[in-house]
Amino acid sequence: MTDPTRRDALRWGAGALALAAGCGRPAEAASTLKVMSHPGQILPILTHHTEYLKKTCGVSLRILESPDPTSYLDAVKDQQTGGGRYDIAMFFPRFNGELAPGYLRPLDDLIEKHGARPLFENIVDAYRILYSEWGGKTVAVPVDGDVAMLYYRKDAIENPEHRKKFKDKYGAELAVPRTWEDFARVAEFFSGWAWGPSGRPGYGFQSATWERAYIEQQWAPMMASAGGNWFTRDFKPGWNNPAGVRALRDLKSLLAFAPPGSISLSWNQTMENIFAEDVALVLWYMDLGRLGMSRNSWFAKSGGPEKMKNFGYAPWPGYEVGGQYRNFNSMFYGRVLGISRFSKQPDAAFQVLKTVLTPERRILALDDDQSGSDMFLKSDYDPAVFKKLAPPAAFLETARRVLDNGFPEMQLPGAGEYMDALQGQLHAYLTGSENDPAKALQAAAERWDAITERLGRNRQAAYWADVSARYKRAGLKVADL
Amino acid sequence: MTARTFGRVLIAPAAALFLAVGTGPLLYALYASLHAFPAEADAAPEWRGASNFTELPRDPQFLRSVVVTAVVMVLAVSLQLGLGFAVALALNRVQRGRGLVMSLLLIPSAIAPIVAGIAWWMLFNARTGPVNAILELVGIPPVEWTVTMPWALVAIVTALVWQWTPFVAVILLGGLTTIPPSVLEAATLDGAGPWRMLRDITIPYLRPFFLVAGLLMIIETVRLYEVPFYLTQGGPGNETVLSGIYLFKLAFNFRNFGGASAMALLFVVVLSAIASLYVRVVSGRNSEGRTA
Repeated sequence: MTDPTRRDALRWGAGALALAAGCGRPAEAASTLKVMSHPGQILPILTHHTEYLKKTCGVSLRILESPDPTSYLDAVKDQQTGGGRYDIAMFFPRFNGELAPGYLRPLDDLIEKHGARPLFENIVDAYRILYSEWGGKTVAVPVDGDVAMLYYRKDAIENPEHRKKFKDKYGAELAVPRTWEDFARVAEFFSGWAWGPSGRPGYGFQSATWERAYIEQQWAPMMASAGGNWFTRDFKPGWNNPAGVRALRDLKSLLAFAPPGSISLSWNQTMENIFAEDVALVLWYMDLGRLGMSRNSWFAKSGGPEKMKNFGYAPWPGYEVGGQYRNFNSMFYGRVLGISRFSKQPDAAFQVLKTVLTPERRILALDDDQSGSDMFLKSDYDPAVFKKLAPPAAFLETARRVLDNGFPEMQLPGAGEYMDALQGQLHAYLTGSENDPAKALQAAAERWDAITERLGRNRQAAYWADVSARYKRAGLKVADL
Repeated sequence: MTARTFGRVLIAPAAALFLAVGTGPLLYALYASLHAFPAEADAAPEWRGASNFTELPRDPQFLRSVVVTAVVMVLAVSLQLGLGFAVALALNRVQRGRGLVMSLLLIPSAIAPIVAGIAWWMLFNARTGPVNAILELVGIPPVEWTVTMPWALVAIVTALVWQWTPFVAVILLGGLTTIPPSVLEAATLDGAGPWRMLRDITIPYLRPFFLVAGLLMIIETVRLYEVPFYLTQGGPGNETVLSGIYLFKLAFNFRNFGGASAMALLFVVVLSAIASLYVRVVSGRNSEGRTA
């Protein structure tokens, strides 16, 4: 008997999932739930199910939009004012540590009560362990998975003429970069000359964004690959060291190979850039591979299968340090839903969570070019589930594989303040208002220590021990400093 | 019931409403400024005494935000008053359609700040913005407006001047119409030239209007949040984190409600002090001007 394939496993799992899905028995009769959601492209995550929930579960949704970066503040305000504003809240998993202790209702009893365990086991381990749990309890449900990968232009890397030119120049084979040193060399090689179909001078590199509020998404996985971590075991910043400096310095040097003005481009603009220009190496999230297949997605209006056919997919490069090779991919952002502990209708609220986890319901948002929800269920990576967008199997396979080395967000209480301190200094160095990377990181580290002291060193260290244990359980091979 | 008591009864609802919506939040801010608010469920606010106030001067980010705000305030308010005065003088000569022009002038100040922020972010966009496109036409290389200094500050001040100068102009134009024509005619008969009339008649008459406009603009700068936040996000680094942005961060990004309340109260006190000093200086000069 041959080993079961992933497709077989998915097929068998579907039976169990079908049993777990659905309302089972009606929740509290004719419930209306107040659901806070990120706006725009995130709404389809819920709006695809409003009629279904009403008909099958008797649950009506009153969706209250809250802008992405500040939605968790609305949950905080709800907590501070005694609750009642939302039954369900959407937020970035970065804020699990802010909201789990005082706002989120643990879900474990509801999972058992409603027989939803198979649905939770269908969540990719990285998202389930790293972004759904807090303090040993399940506190949230992913509704948007995010992980970045390396998109490379096959017509650049695989062209024999380019390979010969590269070998003549660097004495090495032109290949998909494995280390950040290789990456810089390839990016440099493809900068400033017309190698692609546009006929204009091409560029070596484009990142998803360099905006201040997101600047760490590019640097943090590089830092971890170089041997850093968010914290050391004695709870000092684990990146105020040569690993952090190396990543920062390397990142800045890559800017020279990016299209002009990249340092201030938004997400949408960098994606449009990728379609408008010839860019050899692109570090972007799954949205590019999924929504890039559409000519009119919410993210970019100039994509399409013909633009995407030139892309190959690979994990982010890494660093070889002391004979050990580490590479991490940014697993930043994503979105989760949690039930407010103040909700008087937790069973009805749980029906909503169950619905968004049910594969045949969830695919409606995944296979929609106006939806910003990317894969997070094991069943999402099957090419057969896509009827409209049709991303290639190689993309889905890579998107699944890079999660094994996904570097997650720092999730402790105070995450917003810790990140702001880091973002300010990273941005200062990358934009040139600070010229010494070590000084920039030292300044950020001093603020991290001050934040830790204010929030309580022992309390924070205990939370970090819990987060670190989850890193180990998820199989993350980050440096144990 | 005496007439006096009856009067008190009549105003009692309005007084209660004023106390509830006017004084209530201030009192709550005072309460919050003396406490810390833990994130844990059911954790009661912790008494901190004056610590939230005493920690502010030791917070380098707070101090930096005050300095940046002061710089923006001096630059923006000076330009708003100077350019607003020039526009008001020009408009004062317009006889037909002045009402329409004044209505149009008020449009920028009626625009929601977040919309103004988005518009200016698009205008200053390094890659696609028209500002760089115009510069390139005259041979000036593109500028990374929102992520390099001093250009990020220039971008913020430009947006503020654009948004509020017309409003200042309208206030000053209102002032210009209060100058009695007889005074101007008398000065002309006495042989006063345009400069002399401007210095000795127009500006002294306009002082109370400058006072109102200046004060409103100072308060606006201290409260400023949306336009600079959308333009620069406080960057490059932390170079353009104005006090309004830092106050918001302190409260919501850093979840330090006590510290943010202390900062807000401190600003109320400082603004009141600036306002009273400003009133004293300007009205003092004004009375000198009137008696001269």
